[in-house]
Amino acid sequence: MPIEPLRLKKLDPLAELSDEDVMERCAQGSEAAFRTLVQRYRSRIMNLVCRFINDRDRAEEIAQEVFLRVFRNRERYRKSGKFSTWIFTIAVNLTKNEIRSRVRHRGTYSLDAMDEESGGQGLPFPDWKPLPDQDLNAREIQQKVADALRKIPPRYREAVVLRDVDGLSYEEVGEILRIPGGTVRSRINRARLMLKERLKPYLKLEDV
Amino acid sequence: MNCRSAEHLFSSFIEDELSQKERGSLESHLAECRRCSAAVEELRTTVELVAALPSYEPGPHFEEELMDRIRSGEALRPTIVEWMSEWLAPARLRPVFLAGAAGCAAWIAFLVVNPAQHANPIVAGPAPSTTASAPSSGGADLAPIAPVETPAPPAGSETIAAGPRREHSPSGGDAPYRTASSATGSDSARAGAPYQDEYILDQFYLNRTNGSDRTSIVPVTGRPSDDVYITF
Repeated sequence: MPIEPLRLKKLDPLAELSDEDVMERCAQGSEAAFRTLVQRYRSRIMNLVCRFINDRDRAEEIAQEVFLRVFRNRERYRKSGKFSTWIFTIAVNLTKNEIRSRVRHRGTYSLDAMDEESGGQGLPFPDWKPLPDQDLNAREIQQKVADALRKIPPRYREAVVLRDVDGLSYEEVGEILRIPGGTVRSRINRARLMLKERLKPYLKLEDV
Repeated sequence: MNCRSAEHLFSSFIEDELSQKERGSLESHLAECRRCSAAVEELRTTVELVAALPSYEPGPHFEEELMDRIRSGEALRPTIVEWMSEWLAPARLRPVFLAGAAGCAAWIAFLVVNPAQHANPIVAGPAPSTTASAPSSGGADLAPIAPVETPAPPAGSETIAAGPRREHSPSGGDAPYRTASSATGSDSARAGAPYQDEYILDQFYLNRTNGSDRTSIVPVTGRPSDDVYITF
């Protein structure tokens, strides 16, 4: 009976650790720990910022700045707080700064103006590929959902994105946005109702 | 429960976060109201559609560009806001606050223990020269401002304040106050008083002891033992 060669699986010692433990290693100077956090959060941060400002290039710059701030302030991180809350708070604050800056330069925060930057169609849909006909309907609905999300007022959008897109708890959303729990629930409910109204024709299509 | 109050509970309902009482109440409303029942299902679908949105991924060189910026050190300089928040952090400021509080306490204690040492040389100086040399040039020195509006006192008088004046009787007689106008002719009698004084408010007056350059603010109580609240 042939003996199978011993295969050594390379284990990543950081893979099993919680975000908070990895961040602690990062604060101690581990570059690998920092890279682990970047890999865990880059998509979520990028997605969050993109949903907020509708400008992919600028969103990538802001996402980089988020991680730079994590690195710069790594020694100030306290393990008692959730890492996800901390990094999302940084991302939300930077994004709000960006929106304020645009308001200052444009005089008003105009979603239509944001649309102009992307050719009036919002951001090109992520991972675009030609689809078979049956999937075109699904893609169209997704585009409508993204459009509807862009068009609800920012304070409702940020709450519902953090909750429904990023999957954070109500408590985390409240902590990041610095609003009480009752306000979080109210904003999220209101945001969902706004989205529902905008998507009403497509919700029926979805049922078919 | 009406439709409007039911609507506020839709999100909590689809996430199963209502109390048993609220849930029962909403379910009985939904059983009767087709519109709300349909709205709940639409809301559930909406939440699923939002959650299913594809994610925007960063570019393929995101991580390497980030690490390059970190290695270069150029991107690691703290922003002004970060620098300020670091500098103003409570842990850093605690010694500053403690030192400041200790300094203030020492200064106040020194004033309380030895108040006469801090007589203001400008105010306590010869009154006529103080008022006569009122700054007309508006220079940046710390010359007193009040003398500009203050008429010069009668020659030989050491009083400072002006306006309707009342005189304090340190002996506390039947008529402790009298106005300066009514005191005309009694200046010579005042010369023998232990001190001359001027009422500057209803409750306080300026007091200067004869032959001394000490001036103090004294409460109008008629009790000399209450003297010297503030000296300058």
